[in-house]
Amino acid sequence: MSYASRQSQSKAQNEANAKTLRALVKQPENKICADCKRNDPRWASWNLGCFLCIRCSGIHRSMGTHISKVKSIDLDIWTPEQMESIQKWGNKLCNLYWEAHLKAGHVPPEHKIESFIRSKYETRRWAKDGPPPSDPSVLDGGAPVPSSSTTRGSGSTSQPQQRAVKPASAVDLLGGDAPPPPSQATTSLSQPSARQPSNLLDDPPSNNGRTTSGNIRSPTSPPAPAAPPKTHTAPSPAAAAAPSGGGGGGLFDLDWHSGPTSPPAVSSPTGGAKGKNDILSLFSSATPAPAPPLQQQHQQQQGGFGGLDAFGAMNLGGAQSQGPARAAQTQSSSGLFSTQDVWGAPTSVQQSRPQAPTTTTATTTTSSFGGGGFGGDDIWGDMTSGAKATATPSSATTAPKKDDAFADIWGDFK
Amino acid sequence: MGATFSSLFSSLAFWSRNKEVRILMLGLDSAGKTTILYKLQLGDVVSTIPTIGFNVESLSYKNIKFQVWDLGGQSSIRPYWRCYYADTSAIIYVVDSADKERLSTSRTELLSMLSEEELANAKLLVLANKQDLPGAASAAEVSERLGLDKLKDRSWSIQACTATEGKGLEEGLDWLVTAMQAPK
Repeated sequence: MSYASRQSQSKAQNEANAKTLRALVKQPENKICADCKRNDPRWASWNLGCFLCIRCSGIHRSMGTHISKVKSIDLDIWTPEQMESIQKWGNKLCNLYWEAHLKAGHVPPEHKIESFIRSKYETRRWAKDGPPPSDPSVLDGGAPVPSSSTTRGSGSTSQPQQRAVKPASAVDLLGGDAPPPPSQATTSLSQPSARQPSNLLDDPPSNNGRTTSGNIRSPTSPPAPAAPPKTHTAPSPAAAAAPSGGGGGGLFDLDWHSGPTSPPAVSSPTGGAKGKNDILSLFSSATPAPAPPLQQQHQQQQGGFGGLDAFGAMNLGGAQSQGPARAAQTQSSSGLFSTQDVWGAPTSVQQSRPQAPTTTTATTTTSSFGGGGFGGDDIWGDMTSGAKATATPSSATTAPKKDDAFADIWGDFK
Repeated sequence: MGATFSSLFSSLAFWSRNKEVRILMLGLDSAGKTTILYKLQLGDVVSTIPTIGFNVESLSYKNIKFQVWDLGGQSSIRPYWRCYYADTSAIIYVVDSADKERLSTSRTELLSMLSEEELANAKLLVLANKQDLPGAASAAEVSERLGLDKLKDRSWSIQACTATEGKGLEEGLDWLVTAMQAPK
């Protein structure tokens, strides 16, 4: 039967490719579908270079091969050309390009996935201007192709400064208009689920470096306007970006962001060397020591943003698109899935923990509520800025609260 | 010769018993097999996901009952097509006319399939699908790229179609019905 394809390259080569592909989908950024940001990707569009869940792959196929060429990770034989493309792109870079003008962290609602995907690729609604670069790494400020190793690799303390300088070029590449900065932040956020952990466990310096670059992309916004604690670099750009963009996506964005960034916030006061330990301790087991300062911080922030109630309200909005689907998925899906889901729905999970034990249920309710609130066709439509602002503290609050389940999650990403 | 007679008998028997005619729908992944199947059966365009395994549906057309098997087309599951060859009266081979890069792959798979003894008497309907897409190859072009004119001892036809609009599907089935009623 398919001897044609099998003959054209050696069995060994096919197996090597399969192995590479399986490794690729284990990378944090590729662990969630590039489009719906939810499901486990076992499919890929090799010309676009992104990993997809089977549902979204079906939608890609319906657009025609002039837009997307879909292959299965597990059921297809890949040619060298196809391998090269998928390896140089990946979900992160792919979305840096195709969602460049989309609000950070946007998660399309379940019932709009098809129109979302068609808008994204067929009408290029959020894509960067110009054709996709032949070397997609320029999208990421010239950084090497994303991989967990890349994220972790930078151990030196000088990293932040280097990063700070680098982004200048990134700004050029990304074009100067307003949308890009948030989107930039987004992209890193769009696959944050898996990434966060590695960031968290990383040295604080490198972490800062990352966030700093985010800052630089939106030069207009002061380094840390929103956040009282200096170290809250990441949230601040996001927060700054959100109001300007005015999109609902900003909300999600914040959530994603705050996950990884909150720990640095804690650690920085304590001091560089200590920081890492503190972070680790936060998540590995219930170490009381670091928690108190953190919470204080948060409370401050929350006050600034209008308190827990506002926060809760935000929760509703945030959960809307993610919440329902998430809940459903977690139930139906495998362990692997659910891990991702936990990350996928940072709003609900994280927020709920610190504040009220009941939250989980609350989220579910909210989700349906959110759907109504969100209502219209424009998911990327407006979200109140208040909600966004509150997002920051919310996710931050999570940090202190760590229980076994949480620890497991982290463990998955180590 | 014996095979010819027996196949004639069996096909006559089909009609008399009003038994379902077994049809395999094959083709590379993403050619549109599942969409065609459900367009034929439901008259609707369903949103599909890649078929892992198969779909099978019964449908009636011009008083003939078809049992149509739609098999997944991913490269590593194409070898399993052969498991379904027995008793197959006709093959609907679906091609994505707009995916010109893979027409040669499609040809290879088609020819390897047709070389199977079990399919020696199966009629072949090629559907040059996705005619609505930009740059889609015409039926004539697909026919040439697949090497259909070089087929020996095969009753075949090619039909341009757009499954999502239902265009060309009935014409294709019309040929199948006629071909299966004609004595070999």
